[in-house]
Amino acid sequence: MGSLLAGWPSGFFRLVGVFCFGGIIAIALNLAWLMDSVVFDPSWEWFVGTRPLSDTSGGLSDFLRLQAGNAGNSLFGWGFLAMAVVPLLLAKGERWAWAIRSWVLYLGGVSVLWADKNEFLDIPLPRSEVLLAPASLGVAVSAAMGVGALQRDLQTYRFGWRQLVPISALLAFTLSVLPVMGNSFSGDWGMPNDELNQVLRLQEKEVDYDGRVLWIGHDDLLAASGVPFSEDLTLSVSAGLESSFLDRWDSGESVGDPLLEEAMYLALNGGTVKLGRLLAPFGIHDIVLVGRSSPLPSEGQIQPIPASVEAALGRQLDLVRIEVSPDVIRYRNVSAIPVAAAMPSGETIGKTLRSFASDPLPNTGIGLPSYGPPVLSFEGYVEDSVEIFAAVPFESSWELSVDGVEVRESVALEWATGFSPGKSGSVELRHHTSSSHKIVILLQVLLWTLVLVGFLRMSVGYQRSLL
Amino acid sequence: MKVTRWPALVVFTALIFGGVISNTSESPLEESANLGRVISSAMGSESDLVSIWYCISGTVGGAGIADHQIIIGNKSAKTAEVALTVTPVLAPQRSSVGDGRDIKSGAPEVVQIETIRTSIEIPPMSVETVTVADLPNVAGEFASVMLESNVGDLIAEHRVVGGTGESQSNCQSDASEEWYFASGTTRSQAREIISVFNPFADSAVIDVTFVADGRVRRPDAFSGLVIPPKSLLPVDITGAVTLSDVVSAKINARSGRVVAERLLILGDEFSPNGLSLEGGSPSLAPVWVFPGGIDGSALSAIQVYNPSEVEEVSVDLEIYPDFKGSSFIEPVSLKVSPGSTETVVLGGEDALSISRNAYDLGSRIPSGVPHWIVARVIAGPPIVSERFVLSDGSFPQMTGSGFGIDVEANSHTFISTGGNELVAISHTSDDRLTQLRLLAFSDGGVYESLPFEISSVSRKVINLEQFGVPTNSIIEIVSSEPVLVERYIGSEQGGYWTRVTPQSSAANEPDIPLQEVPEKEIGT
Repeated sequence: MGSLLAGWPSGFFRLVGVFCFGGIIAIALNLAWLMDSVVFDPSWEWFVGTRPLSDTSGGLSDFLRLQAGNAGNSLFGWGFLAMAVVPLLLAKGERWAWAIRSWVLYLGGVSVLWADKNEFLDIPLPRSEVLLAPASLGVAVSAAMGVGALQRDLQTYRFGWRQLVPISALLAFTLSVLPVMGNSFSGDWGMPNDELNQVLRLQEKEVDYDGRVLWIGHDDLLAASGVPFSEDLTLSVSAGLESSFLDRWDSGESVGDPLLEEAMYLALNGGTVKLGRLLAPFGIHDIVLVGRSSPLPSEGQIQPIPASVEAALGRQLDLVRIEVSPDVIRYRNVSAIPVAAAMPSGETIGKTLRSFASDPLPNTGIGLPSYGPPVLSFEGYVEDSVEIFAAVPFESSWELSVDGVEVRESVALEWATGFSPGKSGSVELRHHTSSSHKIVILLQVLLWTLVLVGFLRMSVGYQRSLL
Repeated sequence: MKVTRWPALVVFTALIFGGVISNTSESPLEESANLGRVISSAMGSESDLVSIWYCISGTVGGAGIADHQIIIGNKSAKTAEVALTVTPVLAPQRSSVGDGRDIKSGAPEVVQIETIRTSIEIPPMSVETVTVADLPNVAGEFASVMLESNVGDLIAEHRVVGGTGESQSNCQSDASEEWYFASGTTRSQAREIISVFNPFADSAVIDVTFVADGRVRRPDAFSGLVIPPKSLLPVDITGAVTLSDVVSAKINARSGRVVAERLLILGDEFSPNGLSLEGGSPSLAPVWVFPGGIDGSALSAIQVYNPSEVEEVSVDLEIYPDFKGSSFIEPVSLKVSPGSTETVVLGGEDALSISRNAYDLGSRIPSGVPHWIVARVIAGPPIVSERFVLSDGSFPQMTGSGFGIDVEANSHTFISTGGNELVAISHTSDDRLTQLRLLAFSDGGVYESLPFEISSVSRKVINLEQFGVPTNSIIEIVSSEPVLVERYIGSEQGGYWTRVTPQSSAANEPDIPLQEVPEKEIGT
């Protein structure tokens, strides 16, 4: 579009070609993720996660100044726009064409944000910062074209108002650079550090931690991917209190996700004060409400948790509130059951989650000791009057053997895996990786190799051409 | 190549200015329509996973001053499994000051006894009564009972029976960070015990503030009281706030949430003058309604407690006669200072025997005129309000305190053990009537009344006996419009008005139009 506006269509097809080639390489390098997230669950969510609709703060003037949120009446951001205007006034030839293209990129990014802000789009979008990234690139390219125009094109004009443009550009540059200079003094450029993990890591060390964590917060604040929940929130489950970008891997909707949501809605609507018992079959030992990306005094993104959610959790009799820091609250589940547990026969297999959780005299089972990594397994000795409950989705490739004899799996509590050995003996519960998953991983390794070889061949060819 | 600048410049400028012009303003957030505060008792719905009830005040041993009974009603069509967790304590006499121990002087002491956990099954559509002291292994002096059931709409009430009388009230369905009591007393021959229960798995720390005879008291002994997880703390305030006609109390949890109830014991077994059991109010409200009105034959008062530390509150007590043709009764306007309680005596003689500072307006309501009363905040923060009745001893069952009604709902439930209670229903909407029907669940069956109506801004008092309600029934009153309901539990020894339980999902703030002054009254 920029090329058309500039009246300079040459190079359009080459641009499209580069984009397509880049896309193919990206697909090759992320094949396993695409197989998990896109092929089996083709939805917009694989791209934006569980961000809510129209979550953009700030207004048009903020977006034009490349501000992701409400930045008030600060003058500084306008410097970017002023620098980007320079080539529109001075540039000629190819510099003009690139300036127009970059302006289309800039205004395109701003337009998407503006449309999202005004609720013209019916889909959730990535964070404002992400949408402003191409816009920023557009401004940078335009500014570069402006510098070129000042050097080359300005002198081709007769003396007049255009000779004042360099002064304006210098002023604009100063306006843009000052905030950057200010941020540089802190040494961390105003970025939050990793203190949330540090604080939670300390708590994890306090106890022998063996359970999952349910995170509740705005999608932008959660490390793990999850499912959308009431009032613009996301529910996500991770293996421990510490989380990392690896938890962002979205393996699609689990059979337990709707039940998890149902349990949370029940608590939110005042339908239970035993949420811990409802969450126990998911292996959830802790709930963490996250309202800040990093605890005070570190700066970071703030998305307060609605009071209704905090009040609903506060009503639960089997959750112990632990204040981690302002806006970050942890609740310990005192009704938790182990991820793999020996339960009395008939307690979980064939039973509904509601009947399990509404039992006035509940049984918390006995955990099976875990071994691993690299391959996680659970082992122990069980009597014939028990069944083994594993807080993993049914048909998720977990196998149980008693004295070496494999036991058939059953559905437990509507989603999980249960085994009814019917005899006493040594049990071993182990995960079996499916062959299709192994094939996909091998395929990705192969594609990575091909891309690397291709890149090396291109590099060598380029070096030779220079010689 | 010649550059044509204007198309690009026009497009960019149009885009930016178009965006600026059509920039929409932010729409204000819609307010939630639900009740945004905690209420002491609310009935769950059938779809709820579990129901939890806390029955806090009562004794299981010692002198048997208030023997604790739990009344459980299951109106569902399935058998309710109910787990009862009994938390008994011994509450020894406070140690004398200077006995060498490092405790706050006069701080309430208890000895926690082992918690007893048992379960019972309640058949469908039936009522069971459990005497707590009769449960196996229950010992101690005071005992709270926490009920957990797999039936979402189970209802629980409790009754205390002692030498000075008996009293029945709702159990509590929720915990809160704050609890208020407007109308306690530590007058001569009276004893007030506030029991606080922490049902959670972590400790709670509470502060108790009293307002007694116009003064705010914050005894050190009642500040920073730690209540361990799942434990009970009965606090006998009689020694801390001595000989006060009116004692209001505020319990504030620094951390955690608790449940609080009050037990008033008036007289002794030789000269009994009443036993009153009442849960606290976990929140303040701008409107309190007394559908049962005031019984003019006994010394009766409305007490208004303003727990705010800084704001004065203006309150009107509006009196609505049942008969449209009755003369207009002028509202009573009150100014309640911050942290104080005002008493307005509206029935009986010798008002000063209720409180030396009481307003004597016993003649305001003409004798024999049935009525209902609304306490409404005109300006200032929300309040709590209770009805206090003091008998001369001839009808000890009349003596006691009870909160007004602060929520309206389309469905109310309570347990009728005698089948002869009165039920007062106030309908506050001014533009439509309401249709009601009464359901009684008893002995596995359900009885349904014919529909009846209540016109706008009026009330009706019904007698369950006239509906042929069997004893030990769960009564559900369903109305087409939200109403406020109170019941009267009577006996030969007198009777008292007490709250019924609204359906939690249907509970809302009462919407009562301002009382209209008839034109002839304006003319005069």
